[in-house]
This record gives sequence, structure tokens and C-alpha cells, in this order.
Amino acid sequence: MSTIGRVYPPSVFARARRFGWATTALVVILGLIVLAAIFAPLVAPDSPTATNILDTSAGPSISHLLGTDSLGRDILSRLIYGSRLSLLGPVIVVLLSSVIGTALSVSSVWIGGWYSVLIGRILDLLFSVPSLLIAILAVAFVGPGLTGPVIALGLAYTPYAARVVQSVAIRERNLAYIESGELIGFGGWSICTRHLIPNVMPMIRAQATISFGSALLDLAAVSFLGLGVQPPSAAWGLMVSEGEAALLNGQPAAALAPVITILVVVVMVNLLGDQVDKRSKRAL
Amino acid sequence: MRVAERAMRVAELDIQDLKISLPRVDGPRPILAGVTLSIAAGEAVGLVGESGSGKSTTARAVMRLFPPKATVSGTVDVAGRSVLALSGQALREFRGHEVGMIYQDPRSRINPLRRIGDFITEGMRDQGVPRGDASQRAISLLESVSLTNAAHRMNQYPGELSGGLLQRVMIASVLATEPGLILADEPTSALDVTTQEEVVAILGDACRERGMSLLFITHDLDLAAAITDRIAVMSAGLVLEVLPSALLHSELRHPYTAALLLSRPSLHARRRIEAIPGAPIAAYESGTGCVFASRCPFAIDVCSESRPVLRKIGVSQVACHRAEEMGGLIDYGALA
Repeated sequence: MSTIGRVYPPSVFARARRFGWATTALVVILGLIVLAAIFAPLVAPDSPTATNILDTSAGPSISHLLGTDSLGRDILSRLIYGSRLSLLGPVIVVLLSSVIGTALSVSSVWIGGWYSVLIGRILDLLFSVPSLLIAILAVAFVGPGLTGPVIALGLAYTPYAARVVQSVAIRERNLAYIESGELIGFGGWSICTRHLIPNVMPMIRAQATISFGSALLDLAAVSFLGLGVQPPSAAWGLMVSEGEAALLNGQPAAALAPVITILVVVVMVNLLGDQVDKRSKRAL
Repeated sequence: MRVAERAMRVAELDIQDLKISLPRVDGPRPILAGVTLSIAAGEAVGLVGESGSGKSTTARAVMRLFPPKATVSGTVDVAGRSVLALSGQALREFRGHEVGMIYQDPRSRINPLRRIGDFITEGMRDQGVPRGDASQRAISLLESVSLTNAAHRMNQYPGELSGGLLQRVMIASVLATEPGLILADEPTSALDVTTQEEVVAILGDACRERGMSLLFITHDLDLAAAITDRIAVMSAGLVLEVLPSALLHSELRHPYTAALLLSRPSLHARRRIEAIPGAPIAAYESGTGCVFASRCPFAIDVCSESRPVLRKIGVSQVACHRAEEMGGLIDYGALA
């Protein structure tokens, strides 16, 4: 259409250079973990639930790369299958808290007045309750399983998302182009969904990434306490508690493997979150 | 033909005795002290005055945009409709269709993360125009404001365009909604001097071709005189004089207008620039007399006692007690 020239999308390598190799490595490794979770039946060497009484609490070997747990189940396979629930839970928590938090904070910035005071007080109230406590309370109401804790943590994380989004939304709302939109005759809904929220999106993304690590830890803690994912299903938090006995008997693999996995994933997600945060602050 | 058209329609903009004041602990503080101004359909009016005289406040009042907690009295009618009575959906439609506003700094007024095409078509898309038609119209609008390579510009981001080009984009976006009245609030102040002239010419032509009314706010009397039919001079929240632009130098009667003309360098004569003595006063400091009385070389006792109202003298309207004699007092030769 034009003669001036066209813009080519940057190649994978150009992108990698721009993000920095460390960040790229983080994204690639986390991506592989997610792929392993999705394609667990193809990747896992064994069934996560098949027990073998003759081969319990074994150390690492060729047939069981990370050894077996006290019921003779392959630890690596359980880690891979366990990543499904262990990762899906925090994703839902983060989505829930980001969506509710953004809706609350942007509407309070836009509407202002008594509504914004009301939202502020509700957020203060939510802030004052420890997230793990809410999650455990939810189990008391809904019963054991992931549903209760996930919804509860989604609510518990909402004030954090809301506060961060609110601080940038206030600034954005006072920019001249938002007022121009009002003067062109656009309604509040159009301006917020088409301009305000897209423009504070980098901040929402950064906050979501950083919360993911905490949500993973909290959900693992709920499962560790026996209130979340129920055996024989596999989840990292549950595997830690199952490996506890073996740990005291001098066979640490069953407990250490999920602990190290949780540690590595959370650290990597937090490092990635820091990068996303830095980029979002540059963008805003 | 344009003249006949004008005569048939009612005034596009009619502001009568518009007063706006802000609450302060020591009582309400006026920022507009009774502005009266009207613009005929298809007419271009320049609004001139020093900083803080209420030019922008007046323009924003036409959009029904007031400072928070302001008290407002008087009337603002656009195309026969009372603006002050509008709210909600009616107000949004009024802002979307009847008036268009062009600002001093287009860069801060356009969402930096959206493409030029998105910005111009957004209003049309909002009114249900299909995407393809909206783009076609946007391209022809961009061409009508002399933007080269319009189709390519549609896909560029605001950051890729210079201030002058972006101001043209702004003008195109306002033309897109075909308003009857365009409010241009110092549209060239943030631009390079060389691009100022082009942008002003484009704006003036666009309004003339489409028969749109224009309120052109500026500090620059000569610039205003060049593209408008009439000029209104404001100070301290009041309109002091309204006169035909072509007769600015020969028929002005208000000492303030004369002082404004004397305080800018002349292209024709080598002379000292005469600063207006004292500082401009704000509307709330003006007391009961004429707002210019304390700085006026021709002030007499009555000037600081009662406030002159805008009255018709010859071709112009002047708010000055000595308007009739001013013709003999002002040195028109020095104003050129």
C-alpha cells in the first residue's frame, strides 16, 4: 500500500537480544515446564499412581530417575503429573484476582466519590486477613479439594492487584488524552476498556506474574496440610507431606524432589516477574 | 452564498453573561465575571487575551466542562440548545456531534499506544460506521488536511509524527464528526513557527469549506486577525471588546486592545515595544470598576467606580466608559 517501506516483525533472536538472554532462558525453561504439564502422559516415564510394593523408597536408578516414594510410585512421573494441578491452581488464582482487582480499582478511579471510598475500605478489610487463613476457611465451607482454596486465594490476592492497578490508573486517568476521549463523547465504559485498561496492562501483567509465585506457595501449603489436592492425585505440596515420613527414615528423595521443584519454579517466576515489572515501569 | 446561509441560521454559539466562580474559604472567587460572546454559523471568531484572562475556561464551558465544585450562571447555547442543561447520554452526543475541540498540545491528547488510524476512526466506529468505510473516510480526511502519504500514516503511532503533523491529525479527527462548531484552544502554541502558519491555514480553510464556526483562542492578535472574521479581547474573565478582524488596527476603541497591539513587535515600523504597566489582574481582584482601570493611561474617576458594560459603537462592541472619545485619544499610527 505504501512506498515508504514495511516493518518486519522482529526475529526470535532479535527479541531474545532485546529481552536479555537471562530472561529468555527463564521464559524457555518455564515454557518447557508448562509443556511438560500439558503433555504429561507423553512425557512422564511411568504412571503417577501405579504403586509397587516391591520397590518402595528406592534411590535414583535408570528405571526411576528420581527414585520411588514410600508406595513405590515413580517420583519423576508424579512431579510431572503433579505440575498440572500445582500450576493450574495459581494461574486461576492470579486470573481471578487480576480481573476482580482491575475491575474494582478502575471503576473506583473512574467513578470516584463515595464509591471509591467504599472500595478502598473493602480492600483494606481484605488486606487485614492472612491469605492462607482464608484458604483454610474456604476448605471448612467447601470441603477438601482445590476449588475452595483457589477461589478464596483469588479473593485474598485481589487487594494487592487492585492497589497496584489503582495507583497507575489514577495517573493515567488524569492524562489529557482521557479527557479528550470524554470530550469526543465516549462513555466511561468505552474509555476504560479501550484506553485506560490497555494502557495500564503492563502493570497488571507484572503484578500477576509476581503474585503467581506466592499463589503457588500458598496452594502448595494448603495441599501439604492435607486440605487441598487429595491422594492419590499428584500435586507438589501433597508430595512433600507424603515424603515426610521417608525423610525421617533417611530417604529424602520423595520430599526433596517436590521441595526443590517448588523452590526452582517460584524463584524463576519471581525473577521473571521482576523483569516484567521493570519493563512495565519503563513502558509507563 | 455563504452570507445568505449565515443569515438564515441562528447563532451557532451564544454565550450570555457566563459567570463561573470557585468556592474559597473567604467566599466565592470568580474566574469568569460575565462573558458575553456569540458566533454566527460559519463565522470564525478569535478570542485573545493574556494568560489567566479566562479564554480556555470559556472554551471549556462550551463543552460543559467546569472546574470541580464551580458555581455557574448565565447561558451557553450551541445551535439553539442550552449546553448547561445537558447531562449523561445527551451530553455525550452533544460533545460527539456538535462541537469539536482542538488543543494546544496534540501529543498529550492522543493515546500514545494506539495508531493514528485507530484514533481518527474511533469516533466513527463508535457511531456504527463499518471499519472499512471509517478507514476510507479517515484517509480522505488526512489528505484534506494536507497530510502526505495518508494511508501509511494510518498505521503509524503518534510518537512517529512531529507536532505539526500530529496537530493536523487532531484537526482531521475533529472534522470526522462534522461538528457545527470547532473550539481551537491555542492550536499552534506548541508548534514550530514555520508549521504554525500551515496549520492555521489548514484549520481556517477546513472550517470555511465546510461552513463550520470556529472559536480560535490565541495570544497572537495578528494571527487571530488573519484567519478570523471577528476578534474578541478578554481580560480578567470579561470580554472587553469585539470588533471585525479587518478593522482591528483602525477601529479598535478599548485602551486594553490598543495596549496589547503596542506590546508586540511590529513588522512595519522600528519602535520600542511598550509593555503594559503593572501585572494582569485576576477576575477576583478586579473590584467594582473596570478591570483595566489601574493600568489604563486614559482612566478617569468613574473607571474605578463602576464597571462598564459591553455596548455597541459603530461596527464594534466595547466595554469602556470613554469608548466614544477613544477614537480621538488612541494613536492609531503607532499600532500598525
